[in-house]
Amino acid sequence: MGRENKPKMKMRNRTREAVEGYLFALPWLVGLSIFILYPFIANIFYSFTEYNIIEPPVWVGIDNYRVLMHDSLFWKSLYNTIYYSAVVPLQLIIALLLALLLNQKVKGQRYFRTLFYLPVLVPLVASSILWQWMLSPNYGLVNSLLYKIGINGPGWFASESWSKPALILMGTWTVGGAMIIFLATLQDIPRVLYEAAEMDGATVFKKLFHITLPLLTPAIFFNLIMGIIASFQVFTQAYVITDGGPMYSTTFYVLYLYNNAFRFFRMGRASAMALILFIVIFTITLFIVKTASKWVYYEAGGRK
Amino acid sequence: MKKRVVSFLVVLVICGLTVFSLASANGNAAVKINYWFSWGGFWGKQHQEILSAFNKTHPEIKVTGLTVPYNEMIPKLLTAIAAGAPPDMVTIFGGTNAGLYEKMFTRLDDFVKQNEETMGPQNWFPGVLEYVKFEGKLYGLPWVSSSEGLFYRVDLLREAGLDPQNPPKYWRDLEVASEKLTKKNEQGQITTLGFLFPGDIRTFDTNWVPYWFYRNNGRLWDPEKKKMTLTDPENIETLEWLASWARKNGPEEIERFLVSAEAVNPEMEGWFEQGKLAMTVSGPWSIGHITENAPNTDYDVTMVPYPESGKPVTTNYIDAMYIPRGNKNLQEAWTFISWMATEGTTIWSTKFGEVPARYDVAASPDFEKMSRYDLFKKIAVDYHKYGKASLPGFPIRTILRDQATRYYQQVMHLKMSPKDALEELQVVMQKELDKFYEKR
Repeated sequence: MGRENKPKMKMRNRTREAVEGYLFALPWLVGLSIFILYPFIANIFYSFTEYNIIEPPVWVGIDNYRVLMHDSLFWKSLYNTIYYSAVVPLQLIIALLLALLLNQKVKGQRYFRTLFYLPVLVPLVASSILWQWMLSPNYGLVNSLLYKIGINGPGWFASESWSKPALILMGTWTVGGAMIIFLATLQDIPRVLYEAAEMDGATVFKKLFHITLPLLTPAIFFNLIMGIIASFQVFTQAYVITDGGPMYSTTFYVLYLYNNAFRFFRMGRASAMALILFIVIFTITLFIVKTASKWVYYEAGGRK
Repeated sequence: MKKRVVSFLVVLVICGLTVFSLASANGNAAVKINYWFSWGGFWGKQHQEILSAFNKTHPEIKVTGLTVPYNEMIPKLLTAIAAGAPPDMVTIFGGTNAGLYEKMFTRLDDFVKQNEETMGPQNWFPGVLEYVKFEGKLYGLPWVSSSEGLFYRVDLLREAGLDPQNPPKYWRDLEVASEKLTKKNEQGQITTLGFLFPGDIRTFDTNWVPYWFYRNNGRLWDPEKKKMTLTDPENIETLEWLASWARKNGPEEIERFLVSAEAVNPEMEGWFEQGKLAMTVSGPWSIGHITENAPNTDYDVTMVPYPESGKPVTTNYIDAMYIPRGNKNLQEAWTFISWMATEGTTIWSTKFGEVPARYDVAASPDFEKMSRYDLFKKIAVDYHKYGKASLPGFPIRTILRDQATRYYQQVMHLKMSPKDALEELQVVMQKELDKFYEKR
């Protein structure tokens, strides 16, 4: 025992700490490997095969990808999904406006916050049925109200041109999640900045555009990425309400993937679609992250 | 303290082992078999009662039923078979790819040979066994069949100046009646639809839509030559007639009508009773629904119309029972499936007015206790004689449904001519069919 043993003890301690750390993380690592990594690698393999579950997979090389490139419904489903992702900026704007309103000191503020968050808790299948009723072309609440003010309401889920806008409208109902994130970030903005601006005679709009929005950019960045990832995986609403119609106008990418896998027994083609979707979402996310340095401001540190 | 904890744990383990072994001992008296089906809620409970009836009369076998939602049945079943843990028996609504039968299900020909008198083909209505065969080999037994008639509102026909005693017999009669019976409001929305096709204008459902072609002497494929025959002149003529119905009513207005109806009830039950649908093709299950919900509905049933140069044909779409491959209790599963095909289905069909697939079941006097037995007999027995299997033995039914729907929608939304649609579909489907047979 002496000074020369202290570095060895330190190393043994560090090794022990590392082992303990990994042991604690082991359940998560095992779960990640079994439920994320393995299916991901298996998916890549199956995308190069013809596989109907019941028979062993047969290697077909890039045949699935080639067929998809020539499949008009593949491209239509991609177009439908990109169209639907227009819900994301709309959700962000509404969530932001709601957060600004709910940040005001008014009576019943807590109840209003709860009320606007509640739709997020409604299961998607239940809300799909609800909106199916509300937007029923001939008997729904929305068209009945429109008719009272002299407007012949559109077909909504029955119309090729209105079906996606109907789903986008439905999507704006669940902005509560993004709203909460904005609200939390708003409350982190130091009051002194507003006070200093007020002393310099800043108007409400100047404060909004020069203090609030810049300091909200991290939350906007987060909500934008999460929103894009979620919108590209839209499925339940179309599955419950329209089954991809009318005229395939709501056949979204994941719905078509599901049909290929479970209705047409084409697991290989569905796996190819899954890999393409991963690449598309990854590319878009990477683009947003790379551009973030130009427009996302982190508090007290300028841009990151 | 430590000793007490250890003693407690030892006692707990001993108790647990005792309970487990007792349970196992009781369980060993009967062979347990699992059975999957898609009836849920009220129907699921009713179906479980049939299983209880079997278990009472067969103490050596214990059947446990599980409801698997319809949309999940095939994927779940495929996964279970691939994993080597399939249910011992399964009931599937409608058909799936016959080309998969030999991979998915146990062949039943030997069992049928051993029980020729009760299970031989002479016991079943025409065509029903075709649904559970592939290349002549039997893979399942029918649970119930179907048959259809044209349901029509007597009062609405009278109001429109039509004679309810002479309901539509041919396609041209159907067209005239449909036009007179369709009503629209001041916004141009359909408030009463004169006639609705099954499959409407969206889906080429292979259980229903092919029958319009059969009525016009058409067929969709030649099983001997393994060739699609979609472009035969009779088929083009049929699709043109279907499109003319869409043209007269307007595809957008039909969509609005359908979507509005489905928001209230996905199966559109009740619309005929409410007078929103004046005529529709349906089966005996609608009789039970009308009797229960709107017994004063003034209606009758006739044969589904056909062209004057054609012939009467009715569906005999079945729900079928299968024994998946990899089953470890084959004899018990066969005992159960054969009981279900005879006694089980008799209990069910007589209670709910389903169309029997077997002659002996159809002869059960319990059917006569049904309300409106006169209509039930017309559809389930008289019209059933004109039954024809839809695409029997067609190996890639789901692919046909997918591809044909793409063209069918275009035609019914007046965006493509029937001739062009069938020509393109012919090329696509022949390629898929050739691919299937090349792999075999």
